[in-house]
Amino acid sequence: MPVKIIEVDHLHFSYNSIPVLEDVSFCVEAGSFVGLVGPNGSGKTTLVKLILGLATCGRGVIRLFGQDISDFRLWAKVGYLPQSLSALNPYFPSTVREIVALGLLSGKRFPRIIARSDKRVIDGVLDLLGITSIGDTRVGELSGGQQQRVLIARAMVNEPALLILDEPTAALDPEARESFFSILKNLQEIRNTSIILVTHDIGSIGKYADHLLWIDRKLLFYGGFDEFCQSDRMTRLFGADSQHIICHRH
Amino acid sequence: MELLEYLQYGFIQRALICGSFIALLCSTLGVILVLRRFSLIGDGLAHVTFGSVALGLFFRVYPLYVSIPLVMLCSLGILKLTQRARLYGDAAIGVVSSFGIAGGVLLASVAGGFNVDLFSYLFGNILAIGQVEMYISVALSIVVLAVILLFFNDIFSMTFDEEFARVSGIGTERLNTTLVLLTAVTVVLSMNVVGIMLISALLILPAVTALQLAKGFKDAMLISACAALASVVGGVFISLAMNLPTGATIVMTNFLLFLTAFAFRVARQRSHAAKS
Repeated sequence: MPVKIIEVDHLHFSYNSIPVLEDVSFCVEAGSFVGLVGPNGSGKTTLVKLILGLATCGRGVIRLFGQDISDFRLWAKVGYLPQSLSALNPYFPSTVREIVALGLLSGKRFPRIIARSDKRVIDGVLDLLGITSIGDTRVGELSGGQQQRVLIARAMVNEPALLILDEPTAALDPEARESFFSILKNLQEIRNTSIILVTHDIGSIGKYADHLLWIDRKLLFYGGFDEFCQSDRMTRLFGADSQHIICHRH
Repeated sequence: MELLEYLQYGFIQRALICGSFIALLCSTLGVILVLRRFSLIGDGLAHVTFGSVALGLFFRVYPLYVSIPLVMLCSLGILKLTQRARLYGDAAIGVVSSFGIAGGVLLASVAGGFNVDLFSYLFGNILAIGQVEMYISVALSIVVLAVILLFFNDIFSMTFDEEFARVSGIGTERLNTTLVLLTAVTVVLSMNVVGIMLISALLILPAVTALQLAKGFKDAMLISACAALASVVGGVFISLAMNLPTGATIVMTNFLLFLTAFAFRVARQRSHAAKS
């Protein structure tokens, strides 16, 4: 029986009495690559924050690795890339290695010390993302694309079982984007990492993700791509063009 | 008199020991506060310290004993106002700060008679630090520095990206509370070194000096600590040699170090630009 990594059951969330998410239910199984899509303001980032316990849900249940999110403590199993790259303080004194090392803290006990032996792990992930040469550079001096890769490295360094990435490719050029998607695909296939990727890039997501989760305040679709592409209901809902953009690369 | 001859005097030794520990405290906490854009909390809590000193003098209780708990309480007030009252940090600091200074002025006016004592706290006198004050300052400094050292990576992670820190299992709410309480203790202890009026300078200047030069977070902490130590030791000796007020001299030394670091960074940037 497949292991359930995320279970969301009848989730409701409102902000200042304005409903943001209504009756959302789905479950993600181990090793899935889920593309979370929807228009601006559809509640994608809110859903991610609720799954990670960064916001408290109004009604409904969220379970991560079988534990209720309010009691969840196994953070070493989760890697996260937040959306707000623009909030990164350009004057913050930190090197790429220092920032990537922060991703190891979730797997450590008090006092969380980065040991010399962790250097090898950090070097490995820098190499994987092609940023070894900038390891000792101050993060504020890097381009947007390089900063994005540093934060991706921070999310991946702990080899999490679940990787949640909020708009990770926004600052990457097409070549870097393709290479990044291939790394994710490898992680999924080799390490059985479950991936949730929030994106606007509906043209690319079909090439890599095996499930599509489409929300617009409510859950509009959750399932495999074949199901999405063959569904007349989806054609009526999104229009033949949108459906074609998503399906043509799958 | 040779400058080194000053070292034989107990009051100079106490000033240097106490000043150095407080410099270390302010400089490390200062980096965190400046990067979290919360550096004016030092100014706000200094104003509360003014009120609490007035309260201590009013009830004839040693002001440090009144100031430490009261300023800690007000630091929690700032944090709660920021979290619960939908106020930005600077506005919350403004609310608590004005309450502190108004309270102090009212008490001074009602009681009368202790205005001279109160003004000595406003401008501080590191050379008048007694043995008990020194022991309290050193002990509390060691506690605060130990907490910062033990939670160093947690604080670093939270300062860089609070959301990510939470997803790393770091109790950011508890850590935020701890940080404002440590800041409160630091502000009260700094009162004797530079006086209530200049406390925020001791928190901000070494930190911004370090930010001109440091590449990494640990470097920033180290440079900030060195700048603060140099300014306290240098400030004490310069003030003795030139017969100047010590607190103000410490702050001016800090400011000169900042200007030097700033000029160095600009020169380095220009040289890099010219090479490339």
